[in-house]
Amino acid sequence: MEKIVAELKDVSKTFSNNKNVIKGLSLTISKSDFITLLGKSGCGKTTILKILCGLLKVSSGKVVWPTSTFQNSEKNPANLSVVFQEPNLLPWLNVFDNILLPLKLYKINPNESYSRVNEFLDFVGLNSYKEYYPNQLSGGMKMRVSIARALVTRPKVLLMDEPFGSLDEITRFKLNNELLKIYNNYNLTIIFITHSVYESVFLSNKIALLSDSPAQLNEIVNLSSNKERKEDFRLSREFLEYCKIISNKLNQYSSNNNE
Amino acid sequence: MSKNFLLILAPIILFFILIFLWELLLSLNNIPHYIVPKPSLVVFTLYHEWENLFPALVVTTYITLLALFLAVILGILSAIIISEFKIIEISLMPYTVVLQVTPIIAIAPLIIILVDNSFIATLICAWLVAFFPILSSSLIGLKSVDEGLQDLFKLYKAKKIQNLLLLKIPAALPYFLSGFKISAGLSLIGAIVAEFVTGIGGGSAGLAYVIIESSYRLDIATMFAALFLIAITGVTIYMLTHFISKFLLKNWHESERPKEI
Repeated sequence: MEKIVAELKDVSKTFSNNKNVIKGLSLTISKSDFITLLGKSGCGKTTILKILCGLLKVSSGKVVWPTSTFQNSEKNPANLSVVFQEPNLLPWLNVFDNILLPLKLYKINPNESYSRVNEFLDFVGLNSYKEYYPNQLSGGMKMRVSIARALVTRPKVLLMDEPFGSLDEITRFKLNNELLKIYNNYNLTIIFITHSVYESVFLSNKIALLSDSPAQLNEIVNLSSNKERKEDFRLSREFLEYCKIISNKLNQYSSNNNE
Repeated sequence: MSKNFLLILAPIILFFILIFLWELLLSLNNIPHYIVPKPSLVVFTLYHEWENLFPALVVTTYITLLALFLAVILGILSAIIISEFKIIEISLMPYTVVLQVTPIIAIAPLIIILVDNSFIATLICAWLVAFFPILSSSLIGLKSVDEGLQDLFKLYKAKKIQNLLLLKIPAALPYFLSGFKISAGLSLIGAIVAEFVTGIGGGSAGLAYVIIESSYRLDIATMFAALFLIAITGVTIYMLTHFISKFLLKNWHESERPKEI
């Protein structure tokens, strides 16, 4: 049986201005899933992610992280990292120190920390930029730093909130490929948010289609395994088929909503 | 011949042209030195009266820098305390505004009566005007940390002290420095105003006292010399603060980023 990483049980969220953003959402995330939450901008995807990582509290329902799945740190029992929409780098620290930050906050000893930072600097290909400050980097590089910072704590689960939303398509494709590599290399479970059908199909093995605010789960579409996917998948027949299916379903659900 | 060179040269050339015109105008119109002294006389007086002027310069500079230093230390500390404890902020802020908007020249006589030691009285006046810009700008800085960065620290379960040292204080630095630049200029003004009011002479006489005293004697050239020294002190402090700000922010903050011209 697949191990469960996280479970949302009938979660609803209403903000203090009485806006109901999520309504009765139930979702199970299994180990090694790359699940994408797909929905329109402003439908409450970010709120779901913030609830998952504990930055926001639910109004009703429950979020369960069966800690037995990966417990190796008291501070972060679910062993997760988050990559936000914005790179969220500290502007006064250079690339190296930005990636070092989580380890510093966790008080991991310097020797171990430095070697880990270097490992991930290499991995995201920014080794020659470690002295650079965020304002000297391009958008794609900033996002790479942000991803390296998320990985440096060796998480088992990665939450990503439209991380490539503000990047140009060329950089975006490149980072998509890299993300698949990261996913396979580190055997991660990834919960990914996007409003791009193509991105979701390229990356994930499960797509959760969300309805417009309040966010409700319309359907989970299972895709073929993404373990062996390479860049050429983007040009394959299968890819196009999936895109068509997902787009049609999105249209169908949104017209149902409008009635 | 670069643009940078011109940036330095142009004001210097203008300075000498103005000085020359000043000298020329006074000579042509026969204006007596006790009304407006010639620049050459001011330079001569600077040299001649140096043993009176220099100690006064030291006193004023010392008070100014000490007041600024205390304003920085106490300003930052109070800003941190106030930002960490909401209740202190709510109860204290109205009074700080009252103190801030009351002109120092109006409070100075009171302070001099209350505080026996005239050196300390002067110091308090200078400190008082330098303190508030630092306090209020640091406070704004500490409170305007980017929300995304705050979320990040929350996710990593940062302790309060980590949050303060690694996030809030660096984020507040540009704000603090803009207050610091204002305060540096104000502390000199505060020191001079307080010296005017205390009117202390003797060993602890500052440049303001030199101005008052020479005005009694219609020694306008000495007045100008003292004024010149005050201006130079002000400019030096201004440049110093800009240098500090540039040094601390050059790598990351928009305001001090080296720009191509």
